Amino acid sequence: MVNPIGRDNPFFIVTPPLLWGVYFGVVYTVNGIACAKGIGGSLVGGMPMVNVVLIGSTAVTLILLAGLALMAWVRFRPVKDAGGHLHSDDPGLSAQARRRFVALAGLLQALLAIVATIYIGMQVFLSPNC
Amino acid sequence: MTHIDEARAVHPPPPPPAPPGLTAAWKAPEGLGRLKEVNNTFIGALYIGTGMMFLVLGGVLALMIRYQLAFPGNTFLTEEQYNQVFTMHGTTMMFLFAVPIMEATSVWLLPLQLGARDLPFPRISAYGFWCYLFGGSMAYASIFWWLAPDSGWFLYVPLSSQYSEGVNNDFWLLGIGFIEISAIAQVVEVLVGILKTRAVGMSIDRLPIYAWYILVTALMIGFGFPPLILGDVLLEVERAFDWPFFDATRGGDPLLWQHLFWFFGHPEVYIIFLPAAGLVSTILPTFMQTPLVGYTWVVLAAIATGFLSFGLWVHHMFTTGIPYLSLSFFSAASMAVTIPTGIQVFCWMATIWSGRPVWKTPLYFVMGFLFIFILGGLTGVMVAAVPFDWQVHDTYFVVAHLHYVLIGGMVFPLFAAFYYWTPLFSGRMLSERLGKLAFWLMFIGFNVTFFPMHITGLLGMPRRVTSYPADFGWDTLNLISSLGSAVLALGILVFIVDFATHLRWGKKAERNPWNAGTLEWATALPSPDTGVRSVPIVTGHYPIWDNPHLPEQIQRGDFFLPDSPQGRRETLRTGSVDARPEQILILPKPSWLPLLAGVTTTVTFGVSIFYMWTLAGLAAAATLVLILAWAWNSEIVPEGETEVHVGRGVYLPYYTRGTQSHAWWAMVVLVAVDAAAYGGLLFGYLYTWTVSAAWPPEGVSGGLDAGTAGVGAVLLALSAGAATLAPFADRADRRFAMIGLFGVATLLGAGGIWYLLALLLESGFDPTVHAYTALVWMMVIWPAGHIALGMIMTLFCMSKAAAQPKGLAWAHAVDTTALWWGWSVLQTLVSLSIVVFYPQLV
Repeated sequence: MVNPIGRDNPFFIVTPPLLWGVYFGVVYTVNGIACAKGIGGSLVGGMPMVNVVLIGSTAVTLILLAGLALMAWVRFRPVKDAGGHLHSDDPGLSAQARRRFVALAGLLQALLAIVATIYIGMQVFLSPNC
Repeated sequence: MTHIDEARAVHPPPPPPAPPGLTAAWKAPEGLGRLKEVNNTFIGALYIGTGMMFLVLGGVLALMIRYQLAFPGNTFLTEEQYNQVFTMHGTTMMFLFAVPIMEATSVWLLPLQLGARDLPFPRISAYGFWCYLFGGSMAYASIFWWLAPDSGWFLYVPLSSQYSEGVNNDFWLLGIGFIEISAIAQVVEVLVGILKTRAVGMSIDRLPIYAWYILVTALMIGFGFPPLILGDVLLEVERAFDWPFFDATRGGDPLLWQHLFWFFGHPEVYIIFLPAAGLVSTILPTFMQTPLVGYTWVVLAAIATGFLSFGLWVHHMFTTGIPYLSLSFFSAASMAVTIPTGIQVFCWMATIWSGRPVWKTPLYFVMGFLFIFILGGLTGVMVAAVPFDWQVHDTYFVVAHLHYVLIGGMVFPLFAAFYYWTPLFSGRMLSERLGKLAFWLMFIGFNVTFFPMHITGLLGMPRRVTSYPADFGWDTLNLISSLGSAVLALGILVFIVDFATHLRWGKKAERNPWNAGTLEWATALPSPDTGVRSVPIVTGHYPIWDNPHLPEQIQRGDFFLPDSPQGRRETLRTGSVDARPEQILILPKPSWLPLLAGVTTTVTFGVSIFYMWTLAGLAAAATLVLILAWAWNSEIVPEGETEVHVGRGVYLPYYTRGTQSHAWWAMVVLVAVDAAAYGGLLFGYLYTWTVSAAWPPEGVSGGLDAGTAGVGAVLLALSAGAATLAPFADRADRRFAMIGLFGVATLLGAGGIWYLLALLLESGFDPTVHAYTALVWMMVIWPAGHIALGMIMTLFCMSKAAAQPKGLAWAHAVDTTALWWGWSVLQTLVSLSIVVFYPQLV
């Protein structure tokens, strides 16, 4: 079985934005249904229930994305100087360059997804729900 | 001396001729028979030419709009005619020009840049092209009889449903819906092509930057178009059979159409822009004579833009009464997408900074692109802010914004690409003098046309109005815009003249005339039908800059597959990640089947516009027969040749199966695309629930019998089990066991469909009564239709395995059929669970 987020698997690069996509779908759906059906209005700690769900989803997403970013960083560190091997004929060295690419691209994606998640998540504090 | 200077200093001797076997294999048929050709160099060129034809046709409509609006109270067009003209202008430019020409460019260019002789499914490319040509012409031709769509390019309901009685909008739904299917055919082709047919050593981190952009774009088309196709189906079914999905008087919701449309419509902007950005990222380094700065960052930008763009669709719906917080989510996502776009722009600027510009025509167009696109991006940030959007929504400010983004972001790079790659097509250079003239006319004409529209919009002029009174203060600005449009059109005309004349009088191009680094410039000019002479080994992003002698080495046949003694069309299949050679792919030879299938498909959709269902059914059956004939001749396995020498001591098989094969990947892509359409249907069901007071709604009589649904579900689950086992039996060389398992699956599938129909018919649900009943029917018959298609596929596999045609195999057919079957059953089970249990849960 292929590990989709293995260090040699380019699928790792798209994992963070995919996670962001799922998060976005969830928060949009939850708020949409809450407004359409008038549910989620009960207060938890002075905050509507639906906002608690939205903030919780944001927090979970941020934790998962931070985990992916950390994973990418751990993979990137040992090969951070392997960029020069991009042109290498040696399969071992070129594999290092490839790992560096996957790890760096994954890291950048994770960081961008974190920014995008914070952008979305903070709207809960800035805008009325319905 | 840098490696780039060294490349400049190399003057290769004339290349030796390709071996006769190779030339014969790729030789195009002569005369009328040339229409049988499926090679990407031929189909790609026709495809691009057709795209340009639609640019001109869409442009003529634009000039009609501008003439109409040049003066207040102008009566050049009637209201009805004007509605058709602006609808067809948008429709033509978006669906018949922008998306197809970008796909066409990739079909033509990618194999050369990847070091492949062709993409893996040339007949699919050819079929997609013919569908596009015929379907697009059919849709466009409606305007010659003033029968064209007239509800805007987004065909909003109820204007396009209850308030549109003629066939006008059917031309859109069936004509354009049909083109979307052809777009998806190309998605399968280029995705699998990029993943599987690359030069040896072109690992994922050495992929040409253009290929990254096309990879992302193809995935976006794959996920963005299907919900629109689903929307087209729902709207056409509403128009033709009165199933009220969008009819508010019967429980439907017009906003559902807007969701389905814009879920496609916003990514569409990036579907157009990203390939153009890929062209820019390829062209710019050549004219700066330095590698692209920040390759990984640009890849990041392309991927991130692709994902984020799916979180933007509601920003076209800011004024529809969607909850505030939801609007804020989309506003925030619209702001977030500026980050990757900005990264990309800064990488281009850094590339300009680090190089020394060579001021040739393509660079002019690239610079024009940067200027215009950045302005369009800035107004994009403005309209992403909800309060600002409320003020300018549906005004000419938005018209200005979208043309800055689309013409700046796509047309200018496209013209840069024409000037840049034409030598590869014709072996001749376009004129520098005419090119620069075309650029300045287009650049000035564009800005004079569209910049004033920002002000016209802020002054309150709404979009889509036929005319306006003289005392509103809009007349001078409109006149300026109209004069600008004439200058822009003149610029395009200069290009057309340049292109037409260069074919005869253009200066002969030297090999690699721009001293570029990417692989396509390693071929002789014009690029021969054989494509790359031998499939090279590459070790970087700019193989020619890395090894200035590479073109000669390729041309001498120093690398892989230098010959084809058997006269077969072949290319290498390489590993998706490390691009290690894995297999020799045998590609199909010229055939009439794609063209004929294109004709019959066109007839199917064309007669459906006039609701001639019997004829449509016959044409669809003919299409099916042609496609089955085509599939029958697939999977060529040369007898007695298990592994052959491909060069440099490497031996490869002709045939592999399972998850490594290109056919498997193609089906995976198709299932993912189909899942996106099904996702649209699920969204439709749930969305309609959210806008209904009760579920099932009041006034709906009848109900679904859980027992009938259960029996159907069990039969189908068992059929999926049998179908899943079939490939294992086939792999173990137990041919009859495979036939038996598919036979069982087919029978159980037929039984399952029987129960599904019984479920619907016994429910008492009339699909014309309410959106709920219509959705229940659609939720069941949509997946049931998939199973019916799967039954044709199983019967095909069984027949082929039973007949054992000489020199042909069926393993890919078996593997992909099993995958399709499993997916179809999964959809059905999900549908049944939802339609039976969801109303009870809520």
